[in-house]
Amino acid sequence: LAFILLGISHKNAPLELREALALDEARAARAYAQLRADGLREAVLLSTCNRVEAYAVVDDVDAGEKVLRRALESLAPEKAAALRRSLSGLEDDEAVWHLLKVSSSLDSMVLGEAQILGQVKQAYQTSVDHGMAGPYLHGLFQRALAAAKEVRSKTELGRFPASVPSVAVHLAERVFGELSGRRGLIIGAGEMAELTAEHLKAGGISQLTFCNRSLSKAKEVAKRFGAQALPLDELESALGQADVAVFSTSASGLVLEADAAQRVSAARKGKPLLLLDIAVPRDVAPEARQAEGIYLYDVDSLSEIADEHRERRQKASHEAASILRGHFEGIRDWESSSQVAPAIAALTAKVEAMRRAELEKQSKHFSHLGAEDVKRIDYLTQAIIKKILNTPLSRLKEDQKQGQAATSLEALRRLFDLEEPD
Amino acid sequence: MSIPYWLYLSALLLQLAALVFFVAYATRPLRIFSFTGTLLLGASSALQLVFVGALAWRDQAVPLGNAFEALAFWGLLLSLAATTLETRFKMGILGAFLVPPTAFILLMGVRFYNTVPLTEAPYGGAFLFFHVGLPMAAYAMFTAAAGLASAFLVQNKQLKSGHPSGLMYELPSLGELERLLTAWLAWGFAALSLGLLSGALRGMMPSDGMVRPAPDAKVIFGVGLWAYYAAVLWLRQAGWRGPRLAKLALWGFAVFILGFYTVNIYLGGHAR
Repeated sequence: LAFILLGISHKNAPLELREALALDEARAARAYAQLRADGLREAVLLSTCNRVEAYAVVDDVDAGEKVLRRALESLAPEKAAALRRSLSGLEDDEAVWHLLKVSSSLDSMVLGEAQILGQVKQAYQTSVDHGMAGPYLHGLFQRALAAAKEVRSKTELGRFPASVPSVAVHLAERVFGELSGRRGLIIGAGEMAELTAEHLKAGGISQLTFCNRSLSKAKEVAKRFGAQALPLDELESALGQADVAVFSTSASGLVLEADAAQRVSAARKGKPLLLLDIAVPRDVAPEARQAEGIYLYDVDSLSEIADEHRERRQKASHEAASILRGHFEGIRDWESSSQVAPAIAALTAKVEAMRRAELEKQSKHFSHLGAEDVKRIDYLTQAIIKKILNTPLSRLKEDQKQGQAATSLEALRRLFDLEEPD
Repeated sequence: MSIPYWLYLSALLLQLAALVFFVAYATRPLRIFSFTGTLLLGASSALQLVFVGALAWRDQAVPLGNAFEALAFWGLLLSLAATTLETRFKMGILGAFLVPPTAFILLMGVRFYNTVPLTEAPYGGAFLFFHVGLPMAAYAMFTAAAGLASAFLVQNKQLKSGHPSGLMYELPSLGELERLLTAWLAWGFAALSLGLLSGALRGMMPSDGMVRPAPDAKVIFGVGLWAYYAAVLWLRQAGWRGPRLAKLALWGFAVFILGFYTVNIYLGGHAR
């Protein structure tokens, strides 16, 4: 048996191709049905915005790869030619290492992004739901997920957000701690404002207000977020109520002058207010920073922090790789032991059954013995069997560690007439 | 029964060693530094607990009979507070702000080891706990609040600058620091109030041979301190928050430590 993967990722396929292959529930069901019909017993299909990959356990690598290729091509027949050029595959150790890297976000476009762990978990669960996760993939994915969790908890890979909107949320958390119950004010109604609003909402900000020169536009965006809308001339009073304000207008001049910021600060009695000015040209006078309780970040300082975070993630990725190497070795040990474990279990069960049968047969001769003596005979026979099996089983495990268990296994099965594993 | 003094000295040394690791963590945030610092801090707290516990066992009372014991008790409470906060936040950096005042209090204790008892009995039992133990707990909380206030001001400066350094990530959020600062000030104030109240009530009772302080320097210091922290908490309620509150906590601590040293150590406590 071999473990293979075939797929495309952000490294070798453009977005259009990844979109064409992306799996929703219905398409995944069709793909799994086809894989099963083509004779595959174990497979997991992973679809994220960075990649679409199929992992499978196959008897024959070439034949298995053909099955996967056919299934993936059937998802986007119109892109079959482009897909053939982009599809790339890996097998056994390389495929295992790749899965570890993918699960831990070391292979993601944004290093350390948090979503991938949930996506891998979901992909595995979908495979389970379709009856396509057998013992190997079950063991492998559990181990890969455990490795990814360790990477997240023990390294700083996912600690530092790397996009400007997520840095905004991160800063809000550094100022306020918990964001639930905090109020957000979005000034402007552009794409970036909406994106930041989405992040703030996901970060826990419960009340959002959109403020725009055009009230109708503000209302339109606010409706999508279940938020309030205000005209721009109510900005100062709105700032008095907010905790985080995102400025993202296309105004050519300043929207918040320094003296207005001072008035807002005085009205708030120094209560903290985080101003995130992501507009170019800037909406907030840089001097606003001097007002008590006001924390001002413009697009340059936000980008600077995002860059620093990316650097920190890069550094953390080395630490993460070293954790993954430990898990990789663990997986190899597990793979080898899973080869010999069934044979060992079968042999010990068989010998134990023989011992019990013989004891049973002889039991009529033990009638004159006391319970303590019978117990001793039982113990004695167990001990003899353990001693006899100890050396061959230890040798088998040694062979397994050196990757040479196949011959010993074959001999063991033949000598003791053990059944072939299913 | 003689209580080994080396226990106290070892606790102090461990505290200083913890400080070295916390400061190292502040300059280079390696987990090993914060882990070792917290471990040393915990070990120091444990030694102090054993030492103060042994004193209490010997005296069969809260060990507050002289300046050394009072400082040891104060140091213990503060050390436990620092250990709790450090363990709670696992930040590794709070220790850099909380351990220096603790080490300072313990060092003050070394200066007064083996000095003549300031109070000549017959303080004891519940009165000793309320009138001396609770103010000591209040002093520990005000000291911890000062450490938190310093951490707040550093974090505030980081965030205000618009170009925060790595220190920003290591310190708790401003909101959390302010919440803790307010809570410790409030608890300290409550403990001090109870301590003063118990003294005032005792003073009104018929004489039983105990010291009956007139409005001496110590009483004035205690009431002054109480009034200061009452004003700080009132201002907090009135909307003074953030850096203003942190600065008030720091000023309060500076004046209080100076007053404590002068009144209790040099003027010898209550007038006899």
